[in-house]
Amino acid sequence: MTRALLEVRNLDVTFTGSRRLQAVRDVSLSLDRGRVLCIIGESGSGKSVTMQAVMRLLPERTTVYAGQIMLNGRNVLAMRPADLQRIRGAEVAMVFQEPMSALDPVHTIGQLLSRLIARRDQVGRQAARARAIQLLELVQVPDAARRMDAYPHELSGGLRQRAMIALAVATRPALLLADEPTTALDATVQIQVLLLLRRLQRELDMGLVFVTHDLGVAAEIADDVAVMYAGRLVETGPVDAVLHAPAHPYTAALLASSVHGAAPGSRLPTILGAPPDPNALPPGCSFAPRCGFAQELCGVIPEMRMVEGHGVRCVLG
Amino acid sequence: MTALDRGGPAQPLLIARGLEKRFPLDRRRFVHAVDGVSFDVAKGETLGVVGESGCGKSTLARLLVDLIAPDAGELIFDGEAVGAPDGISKKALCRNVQMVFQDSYASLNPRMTIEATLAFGPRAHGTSRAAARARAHALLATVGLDPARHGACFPHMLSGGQRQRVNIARALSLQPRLVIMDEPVSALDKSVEAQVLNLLLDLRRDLGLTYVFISHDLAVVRHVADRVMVMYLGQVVEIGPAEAVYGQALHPYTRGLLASRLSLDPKRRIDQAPLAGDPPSPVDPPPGCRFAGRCPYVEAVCSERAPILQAKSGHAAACHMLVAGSGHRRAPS
Repeated sequence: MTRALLEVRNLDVTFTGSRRLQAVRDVSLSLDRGRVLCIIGESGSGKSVTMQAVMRLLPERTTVYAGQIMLNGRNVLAMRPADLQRIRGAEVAMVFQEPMSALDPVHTIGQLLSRLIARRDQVGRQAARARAIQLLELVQVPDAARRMDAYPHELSGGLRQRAMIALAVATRPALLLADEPTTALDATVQIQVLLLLRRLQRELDMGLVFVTHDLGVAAEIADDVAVMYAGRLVETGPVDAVLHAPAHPYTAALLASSVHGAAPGSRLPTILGAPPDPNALPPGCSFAPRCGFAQELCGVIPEMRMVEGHGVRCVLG
Repeated sequence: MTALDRGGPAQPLLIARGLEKRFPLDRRRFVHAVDGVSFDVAKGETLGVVGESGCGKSTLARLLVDLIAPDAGELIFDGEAVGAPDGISKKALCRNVQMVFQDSYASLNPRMTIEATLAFGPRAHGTSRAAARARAHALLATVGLDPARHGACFPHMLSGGQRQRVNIARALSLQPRLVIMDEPVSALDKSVEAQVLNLLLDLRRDLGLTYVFISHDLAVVRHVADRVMVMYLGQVVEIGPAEAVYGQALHPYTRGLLASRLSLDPKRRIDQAPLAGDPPSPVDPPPGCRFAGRCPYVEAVCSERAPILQAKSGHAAACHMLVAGSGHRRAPS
């Protein structure tokens, strides 16, 4: 059996700043090269924190981890700063939601890219610049040579996001993490960027973890999905199976409450209440207070079980 | 305080004629945010407004509630011209037209309790303190919040969904007839979005409200709107009944926008992006059709002359391909 590219085992992430807060609870995931995993969840579900833990981007002094994050067989959580610096970019890279705040505003796109390439490949400025232009062409920036001299604020949202993707794949990482990279984009641009990510992921044979709150985005790009609720995984499985036959009541309710395909003007089925405060989780299943099927059994935290190819954290089914 | 139906059922509740709003960037350049927008809103209907960032939909919302003044054009509310000597005063318009904003936190005063926020409008319009307080409590109940528990809260103590309910309650506090919704559910979690959409539909029915519902989310607009107006770079490119616009879109931009919608079915993925490029900058747009730069059917005529909105049984679009003799090869002969 081949080793998975990324294997997250029983990950807990706790913030210990002014207020103690456990954001991620017992998350286990695995991803092979060449596959796309979508982590789906609402705000505060722990999806972005899980991803940032993979690159150890959270503030070191106020974050406590438990569990393991195995990247190419090595535990990221046990790495020293020098090792972390080596894998960032070379093995794993990230695309953020807001390109405007993730790109350094005082450098041109060309400077950002050439500097990265010059350092990694030990080449001169001319050669680095030529490769930077090729990269911009790879991410389908029209008129790439001219855009090299543009500052981030001079580009449209779609082009900025392409530039950030170019930076992320410049070092040919095996694993690409994308945190809601299309949420801030317009609909006609969102689909362009999704198609680009899908193509790059295939051509460069990367593993892609894609965090989103949008089920439509997951349907468009994922091979597998992992649904998070209140810091825990509640359902995992192939995208087709999870979206067509959700096994967890939360996933099912989320799909049912979507306006997609509802008769115009009809009453939508809703999920009662709001996601719980992570500091005051209900005992047992976190979704139980909002769940239509809750019963006494739900007072204990259910184990992840395999049901017809899905992983489901629910006592039912 | 309830405003009366003055013009009768056939009189549109709101008529916008030739609205224009430009924002100066420097001495020479302007952002043409809203450029010659005209439409009617019938009593009791929901007009959905869709478009991408920079198309002018939020500027339009602010013009409709008189938060900003137009450079040109007029508003007619139930047959009375807004701000004209013999028309409806701006204060009276404010009682009749209210707005719900996207950012539920930024649009509430963080130092006022929910109850004080809801009583503020009625107090400013002459209601007694006790009556305004009673009104605030009634409003909280109307939007599904508990007056005893939530009235004394400050905005930061509520969830995003609860805060948006407060914003809706505040918009209703003066018993308006028209409510402008600017992306009211865009910042909410999906599990809360359905609750708020149900509430908005219930309120419309129970209180006989009329909505202008602005959103970038085509699925949400399909759900709530009777008619839909599609905007591109400050102009209306298509308007018509929701069923017609979604079913038989006339404008190539509308078709591209609709084709960019994501399904929930992994078996029906999109292979090719329906439109290339980003929406261009609204700074000094070129002459001719503003969509010409991204249109798959562009011809010489498109950059020469701006197309005019062509009505076709209440369903209209601005495109040279729809006009016989326009000079476009795809135009009907």
